[in-house]
Amino acid sequence: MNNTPSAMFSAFLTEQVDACRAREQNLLSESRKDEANFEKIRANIFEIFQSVWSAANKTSENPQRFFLKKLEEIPVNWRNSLEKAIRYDDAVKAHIETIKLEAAEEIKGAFRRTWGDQI
Amino acid sequence: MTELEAVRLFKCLADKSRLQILKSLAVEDMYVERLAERLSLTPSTVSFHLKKLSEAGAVSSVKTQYYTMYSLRRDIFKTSILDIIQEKSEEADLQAQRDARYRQRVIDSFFEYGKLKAIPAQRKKERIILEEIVKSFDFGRKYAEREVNLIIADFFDDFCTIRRDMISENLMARDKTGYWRLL
Repeated sequence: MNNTPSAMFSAFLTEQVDACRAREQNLLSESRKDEANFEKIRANIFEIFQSVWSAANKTSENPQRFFLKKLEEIPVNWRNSLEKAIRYDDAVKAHIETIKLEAAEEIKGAFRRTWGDQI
Repeated sequence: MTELEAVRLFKCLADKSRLQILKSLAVEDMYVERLAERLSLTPSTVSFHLKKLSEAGAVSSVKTQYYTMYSLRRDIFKTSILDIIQEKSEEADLQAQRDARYRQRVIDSFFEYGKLKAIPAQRKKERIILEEIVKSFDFGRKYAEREVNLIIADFFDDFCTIRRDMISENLMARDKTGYWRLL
């Protein structure tokens, strides 16, 4: 098994996707469709960053820096959308944007645990 | 409750977490954090569900100094499902029009120049045919069997089958003294 930081980070993203999918199925079986949908959204976020990480490794000379830059850039729109939803008292939209931002924060946390702040 | 409101409410109720929230609110009014703790959901998830329940008219809320308190709209839940089903809707007129068109199609295809071509195999269609024939009988008048046969024979040669079927479909009734129209 490959124990490089890069492989471990990839494994983290895959584990998160699988865990979200498992929770989604579990919630669906309990007739909690909306919460199942939230897990689907969470899984999609991890999948987006799986793709970004894969692209970073293929195209960039410094994949960590490339990834971290995207990890800052991509959630900007979600943050704006969340602020707007709060302003208009749209609890549904606000919750969805919060889920996306929380997933991005989880990824950032795992990234920092793997490579620290020296990137 | 309009049809649209009923559909929105039923859709909203088809979720276990929302049902749990309603069950809690049936006990007493609560605020988001209390519900979240009680149901082991995040406050954000509870807010999401409460928003949906509010939109469906299932809960109401009152802002107090510190919290927004949520209550069950008991009046909504006192409405019986039968009341909702029996509510007259715009769809009812359309259904009546569709039924009338279907009925006319059946009559047109089984009658030719006022004569029945054949007894329909489908019970629903036969019923329509029998309802058409029974219109030749007056209400409140008693008919001898021979009279009944003659009237039916104007429509179809096998008057015995038609006569018996009109009895079994409760369109006509009979006793020892004769036959009379029911419907």
